[in-house]
Amino acid sequence: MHGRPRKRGGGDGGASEQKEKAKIAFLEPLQAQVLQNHHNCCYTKEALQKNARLLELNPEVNTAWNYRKLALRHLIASEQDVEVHKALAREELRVIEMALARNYKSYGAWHHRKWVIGLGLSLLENEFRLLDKFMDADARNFHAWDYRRHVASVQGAALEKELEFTRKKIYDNFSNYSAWHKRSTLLSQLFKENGVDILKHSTLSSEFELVHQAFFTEPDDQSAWFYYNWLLDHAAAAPDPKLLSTWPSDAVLITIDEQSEPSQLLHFRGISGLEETILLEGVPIFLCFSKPVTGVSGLTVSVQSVPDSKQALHGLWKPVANKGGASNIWSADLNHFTDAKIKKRVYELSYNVRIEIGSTQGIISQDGHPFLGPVHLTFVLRSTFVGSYIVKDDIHGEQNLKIVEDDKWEPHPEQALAAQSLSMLEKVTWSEKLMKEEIGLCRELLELESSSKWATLTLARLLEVQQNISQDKRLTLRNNTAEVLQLYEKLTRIDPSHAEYYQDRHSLNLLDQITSDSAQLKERWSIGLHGSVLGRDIGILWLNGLSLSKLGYMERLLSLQMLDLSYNHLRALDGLEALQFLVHLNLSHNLVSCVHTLRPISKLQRLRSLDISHNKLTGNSYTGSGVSVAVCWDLSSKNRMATPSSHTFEYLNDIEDVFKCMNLEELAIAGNPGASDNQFRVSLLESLPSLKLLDCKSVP
Amino acid sequence: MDDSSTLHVQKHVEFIKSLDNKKDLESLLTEHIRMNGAYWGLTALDLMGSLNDLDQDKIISWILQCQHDCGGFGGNIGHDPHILYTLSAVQILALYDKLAVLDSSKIASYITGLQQNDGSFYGDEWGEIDTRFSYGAICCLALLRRLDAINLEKAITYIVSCKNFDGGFGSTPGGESHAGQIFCCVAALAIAGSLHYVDKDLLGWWLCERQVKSGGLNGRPEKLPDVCYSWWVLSSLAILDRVHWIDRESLKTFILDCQDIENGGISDRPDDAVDVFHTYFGVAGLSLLEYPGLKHIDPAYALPVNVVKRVFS
Ligand SMILES: [Zn+2]
Repeated sequence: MHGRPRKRGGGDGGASEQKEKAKIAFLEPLQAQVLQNHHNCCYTKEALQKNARLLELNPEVNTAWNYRKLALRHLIASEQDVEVHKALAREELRVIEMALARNYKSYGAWHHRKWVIGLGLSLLENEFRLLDKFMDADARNFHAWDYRRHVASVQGAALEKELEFTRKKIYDNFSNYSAWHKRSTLLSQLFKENGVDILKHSTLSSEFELVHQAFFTEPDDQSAWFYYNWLLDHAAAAPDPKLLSTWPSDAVLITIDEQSEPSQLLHFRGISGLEETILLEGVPIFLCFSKPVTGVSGLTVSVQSVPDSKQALHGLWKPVANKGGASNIWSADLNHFTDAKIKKRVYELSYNVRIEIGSTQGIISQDGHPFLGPVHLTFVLRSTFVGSYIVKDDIHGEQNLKIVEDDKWEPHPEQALAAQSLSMLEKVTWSEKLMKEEIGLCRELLELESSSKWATLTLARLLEVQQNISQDKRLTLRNNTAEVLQLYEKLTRIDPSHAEYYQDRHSLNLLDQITSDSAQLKERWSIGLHGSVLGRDIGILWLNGLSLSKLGYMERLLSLQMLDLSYNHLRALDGLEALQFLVHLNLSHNLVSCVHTLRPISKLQRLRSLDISHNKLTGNSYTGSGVSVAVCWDLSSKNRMATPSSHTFEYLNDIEDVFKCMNLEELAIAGNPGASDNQFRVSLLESLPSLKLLDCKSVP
Repeated sequence: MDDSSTLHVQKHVEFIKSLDNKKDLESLLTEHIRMNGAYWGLTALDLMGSLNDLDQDKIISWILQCQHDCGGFGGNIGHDPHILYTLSAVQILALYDKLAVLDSSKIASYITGLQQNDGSFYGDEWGEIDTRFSYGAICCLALLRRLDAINLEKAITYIVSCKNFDGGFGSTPGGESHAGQIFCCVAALAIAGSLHYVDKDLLGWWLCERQVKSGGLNGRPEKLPDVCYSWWVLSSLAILDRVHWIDRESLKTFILDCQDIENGGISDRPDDAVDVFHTYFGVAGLSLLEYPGLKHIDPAYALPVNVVKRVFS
């Protein structure tokens, strides 16, 4: 079915047609006979020969291979002599070789070979010889590689021997992706067995040398570049999950104003560096990890509040976006520590809260790497009350009242989250040195091949990695980001078919730059302008009109309450779920299509106002999140309203699915397909009873 | 209309219909996988709005004759059962909205019996293991709404153990990434609600690098483009929500260039011989690219979206 030239015109009754007729006349009765023998369990010599003849012509007939297994089993059972058994196995291997000569990609033939070898009647060394033959014919034959892996594992071949084999194959041809792949699996195994960094460093160094040879020889060949990308990951970061950010962050002071019981007004220093307030019913804690983890619990995270240390947490740690039990973000609530009402009409009470993340082992990433803690953070909650309600008995005493000096609690972001242990520091130094060398080499290559897409992309990657691992992130970031952004712009030009991939990378780097620079955040920040939607002034971060096609680094904006992302090119909203304090979100004029792309928003429990107008919302088909309707089979399909017959209304049900657990009060959805239709709006209002404002019009 | 800038729907419909009674060498050589062929042909017909051009009753009765006592289906009458043909049989019945004629418990118990301790699946009683069979098991049982019949958690763990350095997946742990295999693993994880195990940016990048200069897609680095990868790569990208990372227009052109505009059908590459396999994958690829006039196809179940919605409604 592959690589056969197309015949032109109709049948001409010529020689080729005659030949085909003859083949049919031979093959048709043969296939029928082979099946008949199978059904009759006929395992005579003649029957086996017929079967072999068929497989030689058409190795794809699985049932014919099954027949041979049954026959062999039968013949072995009816004969005592091991030599006869061995001869039978030899005959099988011969038939398989004939079949593979016809089609070396025949799954059935290769599996039959595994099965026969599994009987233990043949010499494995012969198999390596056969494999050499197949690999010489096609060094990318993945059936042969799979079979080699199988034989090597049956034989217990040494890792070094296989590593040497891949090295040889790579030197034969740098484009042999199969060999690079195999090398990655062997090295992964090596690292797993000897988790020593020293070994890893020296091995990685020699691997880098191997790849340099490859891409200086064949700079346009993608095989080595993919391998390089993998090496880079290994060299840059240990695979263990890291704590990226927390709320409250380390060393902050949060003042709680309890006038508005049961809600409290919290004052703290926000992302802009200015004081912000937030209205909450308790004090939540959020922990953001670099990858989804499980095992965040009272055992692995200790929370102590001083002086009141009896029961710091109210309830359990909960995953914010549950991914099979794992989550990047976990949250818990601090106990309402004014439970202990104090016999004072006016009081001020300070609590130190100390959190130890990873106090015992147990936090594990989904891919099996333990969190290497512990990481500590301490913050101060100062509660003030200037009210007049009657207070009950005195549990605590005067000694609990403490005043903490303000200046002692300057924020020190990332302090606790920097290098977590000495060995990690060493590694960082090694990696930093390596990145410097690699960047130099990449620039060298680009001088020779200035329009090399792969060298350009790799340089961008290297600069990204360098700024991620740098000890002095801020400084490196300023130096690198401008160049990285330029490199992605260049890539968009020289490789336009992947333009949108490079734009996504561009967006991520832009967001990295903005979110790690408090001056830039301050510039994009304003307060009060947006009115006091919820009865008080809160700040808004303007990330509008930046051509963003992808979101990232949202975990750096945990305390954000209002965000404007309008006039970007966003298709997906992954990562937004980190903004747990968000009450207002403007996504108008983006490219969101599938309603299920909105799913991260449904995790934002405090969101009251959403502008999703002027996007491209459609039904829940493959076009958006890729999660097809059926993929979501586990989502409730009950309580659906009658689906309007018109196709444009299809996404009503899906909108309901996404928003039903939220308390949206304001929604703007105009400018999406079908959204101006009256029937659509009526149905939408029915399904979202909390709405007070739809497209700026009051809900009757 | 003697050009390849449009899809010659009627020609392709006629080509697929002609296969029903064809007695050439090709159909003889592929007799043993006729169940797959029927699924490819009928799904392509449905995407082109012509499912009812063939005799439904005849086809269903033939499918039922391919079922064995164990519950599994063979590739044709008289051939041994296998999970891949079982999946095709179930998919065809879903197309016809006739899943009710099946004894789903029987099929489910056949599939249950193929699952191994490590979560992997045999293709049949003879013990070949491959993530293609994991997809077959998960997709088939999901359509029958019997995912409870297997240990889904272990099945997912096994698929994840086949993940590679490039973010792709192989046939067994350590096997090289290949677009067809990636489709099976990514689609199975999608159906099982476990896409979070996929490194979407890494794999998406590898997948979008499958596009070569001609606009076509290959299945592995440094290989030739082929229409069937329009499906394997594109459906995976669709599930990962990264179709926009490739140049859709030039891919569309490549697929259309592979049409036989004289006799209908689509081939692997321009001017090669056509077959039902590539005709289906070409049409399915165009459907993912939202080619006007074609039904939308679901990238995970490889069935028209309306069919999948009907199954789960
Ligand atoms: Zn193909």
